[in-house]
Amino acid sequence: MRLPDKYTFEIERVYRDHGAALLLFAVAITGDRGRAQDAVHQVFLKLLADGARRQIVDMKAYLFRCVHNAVLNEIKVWQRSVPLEDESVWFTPPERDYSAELNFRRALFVLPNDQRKVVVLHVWAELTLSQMAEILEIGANTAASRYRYALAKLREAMCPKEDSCARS
Amino acid sequence: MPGPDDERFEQYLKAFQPIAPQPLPIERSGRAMMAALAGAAAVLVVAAVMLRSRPEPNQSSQRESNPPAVEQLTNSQPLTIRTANAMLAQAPSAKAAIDSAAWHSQKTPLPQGKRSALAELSKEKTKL
Repeated sequence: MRLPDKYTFEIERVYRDHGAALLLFAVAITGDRGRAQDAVHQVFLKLLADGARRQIVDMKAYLFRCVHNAVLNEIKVWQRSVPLEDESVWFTPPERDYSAELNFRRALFVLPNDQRKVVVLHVWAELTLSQMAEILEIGANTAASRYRYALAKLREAMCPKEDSCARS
Repeated sequence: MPGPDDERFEQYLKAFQPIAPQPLPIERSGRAMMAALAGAAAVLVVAAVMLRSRPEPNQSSQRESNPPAVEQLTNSQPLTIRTANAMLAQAPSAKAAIDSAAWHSQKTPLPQGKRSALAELSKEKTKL
């Protein structure tokens, strides 16, 4: 596959900028880092194969939507849910506190799937409510309420004492 | 809209950085490949130049780098445990002492009837 340099470099830049959040989004849905990585690669390789033919207005939102679709298609093929892998870290935690990372990952994983997606899209992908609504094909108000619920549950799981997270 | 507490909590969550993905498995185009090869070639050339510019460890430079006492030992006496100990004690570093012993063993033939302690020790079968 021979590719035009400028376009390839641009896609690589996009991959560097958003790859980590896209991978996290895919892992948050699948629970399996290997399959999530495959889904993200699949989206980018398709993008490269298509070349610059497609005019994409909002590249970031487009990529998250593609990864979402790719993962959902794969899940239909797998026909099963994947348990959380404790040994596969999702984050580099602050101060390399990997027990905090595991606690956080577990808290994230017990959220309903729809709420977990919204948290990842808003916190790490830094997408707006309308972008999230478009990606997940839901209303903006639904996205907002899912986010509020998810944040409250995460706070309860991670910061049982009042304000303990804000101080750290 | 999230309140100030929510924003602080979001900041706390953002401190957890998602792990970067593996590189994209793509084949480079011709020009990009040439650029990568040129970069690798440049690194190799610099490494080769640096290696050539280093002084070779020959006999004269070895003599210059060692103190006179070590030189005397290497020239006049056969290598024994005692002389090896003396070399270690007088040499500026363990590496210099080992180098002295190595040069010594190559260039100083032992007198007739005398045997090197190291040669004798090397004949022994040791079990580790």
